[in-house]
Amino acid sequence: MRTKKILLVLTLIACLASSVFAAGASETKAAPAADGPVVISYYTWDDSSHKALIDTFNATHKDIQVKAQILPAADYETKLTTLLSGRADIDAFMEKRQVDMFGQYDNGYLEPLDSYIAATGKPNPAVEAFKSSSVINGDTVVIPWRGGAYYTYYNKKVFEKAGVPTPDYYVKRGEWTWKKFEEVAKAITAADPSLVGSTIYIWGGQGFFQAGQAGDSIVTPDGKIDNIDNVVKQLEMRKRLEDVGAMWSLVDMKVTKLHYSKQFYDGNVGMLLIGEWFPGQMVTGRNDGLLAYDFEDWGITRLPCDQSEYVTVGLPTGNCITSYSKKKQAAFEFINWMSGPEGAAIAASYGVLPAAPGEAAKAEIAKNLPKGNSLDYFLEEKGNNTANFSPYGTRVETEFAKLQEDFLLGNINIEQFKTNFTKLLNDIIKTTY
Amino acid sequence: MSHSLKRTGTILSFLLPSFIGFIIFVLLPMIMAFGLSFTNYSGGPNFRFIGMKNYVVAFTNPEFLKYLWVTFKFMTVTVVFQIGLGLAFALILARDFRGCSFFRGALYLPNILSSVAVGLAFMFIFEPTSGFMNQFLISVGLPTSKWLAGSKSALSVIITIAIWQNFGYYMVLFIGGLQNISMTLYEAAGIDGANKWKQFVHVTLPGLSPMLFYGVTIAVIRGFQVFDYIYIMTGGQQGGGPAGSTNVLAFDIYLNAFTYFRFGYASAESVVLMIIILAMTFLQSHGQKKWVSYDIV
Repeated sequence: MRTKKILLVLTLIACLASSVFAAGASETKAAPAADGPVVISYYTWDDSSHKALIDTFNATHKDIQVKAQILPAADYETKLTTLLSGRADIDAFMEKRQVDMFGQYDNGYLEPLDSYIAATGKPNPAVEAFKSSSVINGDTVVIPWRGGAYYTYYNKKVFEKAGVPTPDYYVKRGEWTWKKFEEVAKAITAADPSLVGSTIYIWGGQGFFQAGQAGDSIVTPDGKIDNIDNVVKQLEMRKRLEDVGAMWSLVDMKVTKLHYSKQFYDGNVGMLLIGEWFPGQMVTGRNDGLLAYDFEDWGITRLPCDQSEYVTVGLPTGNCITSYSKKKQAAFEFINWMSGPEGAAIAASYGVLPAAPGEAAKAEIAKNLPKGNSLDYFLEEKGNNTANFSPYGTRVETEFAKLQEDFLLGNINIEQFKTNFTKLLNDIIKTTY
Repeated sequence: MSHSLKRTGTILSFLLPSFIGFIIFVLLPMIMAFGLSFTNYSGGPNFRFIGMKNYVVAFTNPEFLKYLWVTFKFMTVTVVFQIGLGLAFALILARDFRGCSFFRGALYLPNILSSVAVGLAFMFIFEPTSGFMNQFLISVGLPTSKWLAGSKSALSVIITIAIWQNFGYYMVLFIGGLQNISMTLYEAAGIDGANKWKQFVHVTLPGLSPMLFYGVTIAVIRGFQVFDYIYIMTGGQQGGGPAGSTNVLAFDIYLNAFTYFRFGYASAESVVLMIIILAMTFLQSHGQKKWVSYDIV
């Protein structure tokens, strides 16, 4: 009887131990692909356009099937890093925070894609369009599928209420500078204090619009501090606007987790400076009945710019292949398709700006934008700078955000900000090893 | 097989499952964190041994020392108030009176709620523009505050919420301890002329001291480990409270590990935190001989 009990206990322990290890094993086991299609494991975050791209690819390709692994957007970077560290079954993945590619490259997780691109017999238009943010140490490590560009989104009703011309009026006259942006934002709030002239969101990188347009890197990829005057200029502008209620308070937004889309949907914000993905969110807002105004009552135009030739900022979003994948060719075919004309048309139908929009994509984009000149500004040929695309990027942005709050809360003055920011950048460079 | 051998085998077989769990989920990660703290590990295979560099960088970084100070502040205030309020309410509610069960339950209730849910609820209450608290202050003619959006007020708000949520746990613990103190001791003290205060100092406190010791030890450890309130209420991945005012050490460990991917440095910070907690626990354990009585009841 006792022997039976001991055997039972030992069996239970063995079951427990095997279940622990089996749980890990199931994550790393490759999908069977003996005689059927090659099944690749692809990681991305929850987004309707990603899902549509995967579904369409699977429906139109018999030899390759994509097994989507959808992670929550909020924790995506953390989970992806953990999965890569554990060499989980990932053939390809979408990069959410582009500067993370530096660490992944250093750790040997990214497959250089140059030979795969060369084998197609022609350059990849998406890579060519965003070369500076697709290549690390001479290796192409990502194929962009979504373009990267910031714009001014404006609410026509708010401008009408305030009796102020919309930003495209100033763009046409070549007057859409940061000074004019500040004037317009203040004019809106002065006309009606219930209206907020403008919104620039809480992410640290949003403080580098002017620096990016001027071609400043904050910290260069080889570890040198670049000019920070334009960062200071933008920060001072933000403070002036926040002080008169013409810009949504950054600290309040952060603490209350008030999303920029909600502010814009509610119809009290005049201008929102945000990226090329926002038309997709407007389409969602329209479809879900969240807009407090008609879909035709908003517009898109250029980002304010002080440079002699117009330039915007923004990093593209792209896909990488893991260096340890056993199905690299199939993974490449998928991510190459995603950045190509078919993928671009599907992305555009969701209001997303493709990295290399073809004619079909342009027609789709037009369906998801308000009438008028928005489409012209959205698709115009423009320079695109990428401030802060370096191995120091994430720390620079997060630490800058803290210091920015110190200044906006009045804890430090602008001279202290400059001193502390320079010291901070030096510390980051010294302690990145 | 001898009887004692069989008995040992049975005991071991029952202990083994949890011991395996302890090795996999506690001991191995601890050893790995200690080892990684001497490397520049960033989540991949290409890392190298860098000696004490992570520790040197930490202790020469004013930000690290600031986060350590915020952690100490959080721990000290929460321990004092959680234990103090827990004891005060235990003294009131240890007696039987009509409704005592309701009050015990009501005060303990916040403790069983998820910190995430509590954090989100209080975010709305302390919303800096139109939150309930500011609306209430306006209605009674008092000045409003930025609460969680103020670099001087955010930590106090979080400490208050942590105290509110957790003191009920210590109250229940102390009620259990108080009910174990023999009434004959109070009767004897009364006969000897001891007033209520003296009875409290010379009978209640010594009788409750094992529970107080346990409560303080747990509260100190929890205080040092605080993370969830900070993450939920003051900015999560966006770098923590206004101007970093609520950043405690555990939060900085999270930022370095999972936002900056500096796992080596984050491991060094974790080791420092572990050593501090171990040292505090050791000091408390060593010091208990002077004030904890196990034989009074």
